[in-house]
Amino acid sequence: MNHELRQPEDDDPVVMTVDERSVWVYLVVVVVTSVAYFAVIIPRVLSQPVEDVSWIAPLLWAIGFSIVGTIVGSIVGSIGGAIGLAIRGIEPKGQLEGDLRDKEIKRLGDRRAAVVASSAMFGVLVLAMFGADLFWIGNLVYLAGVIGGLIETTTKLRAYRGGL
Amino acid sequence: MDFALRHQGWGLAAGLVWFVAYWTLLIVRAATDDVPFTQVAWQHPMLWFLLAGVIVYAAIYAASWWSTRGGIRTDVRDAEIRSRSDAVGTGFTAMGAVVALAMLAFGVGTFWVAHTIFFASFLGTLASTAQTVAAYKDGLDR
Repeated sequence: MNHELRQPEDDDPVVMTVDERSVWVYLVVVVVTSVAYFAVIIPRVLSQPVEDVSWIAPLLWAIGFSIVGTIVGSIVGSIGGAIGLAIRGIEPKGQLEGDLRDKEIKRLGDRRAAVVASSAMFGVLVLAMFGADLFWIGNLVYLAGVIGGLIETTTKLRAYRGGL
Repeated sequence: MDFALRHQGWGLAAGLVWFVAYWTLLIVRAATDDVPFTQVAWQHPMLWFLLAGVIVYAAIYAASWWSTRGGIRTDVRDAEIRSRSDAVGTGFTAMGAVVALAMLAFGVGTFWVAHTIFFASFLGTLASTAQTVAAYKDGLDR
């Protein structure tokens, strides 16, 4: 039996780069952690006045999980990608690294997210000026991060799938 | 190329003046009202400075647009410089947001939280504008 790994041919499916896989991981992590966070917070908001809602611990957990989840998920994803290629008999070396296209896509997604994040930061400043409760300030910052993350990942994935 | 360099270059200069003016105003207020720095009434100055910043930048943008009429305003190189510069500033804003959340978690007052976001956004804009001006002056392949 031949165990030599070969280079991919034109007929092989396009290899997903580590960068694209990380975008998928980030999307999943953002959705899971933010849904979990709001599932904890919204019932509390409905049942008591916002000044009394304890939101800081869940928020820190949500942020912590999304950071660790993205890092661990990306590492597992890239190892899995390399193993998957090797199983199909394709040499993973040189296939998974991002190229100029990945760089362009990254910039495009980051820019879209930045627009959302900076407009939201303006909203946060206005809330702070009018002395809004810290609950609203903190949650707007978090929501901005979530929406920014969703826009970033969907922009990137659309660019990967549909072209730039 | 002239267009982006003009509005970014003048915007950078105006932004620096704007930032220094804001903090000078706060310090003067703290001194004349004889209150601790964090007790200064910063809300109205910040609101007015943000509005004034938008208006001044819009005026600079319009003036650059007018002074480059008749030429090509944006080519591939301009677009490349813009996308690279924008990417530089993003990190600062994101970091500011995370730091602000951490400060909220530790019960730091609104004054510092708001000014952390304010400062981080300013730094982000400063970094991306400086990157744009540098790219036009020194080229993209340094």
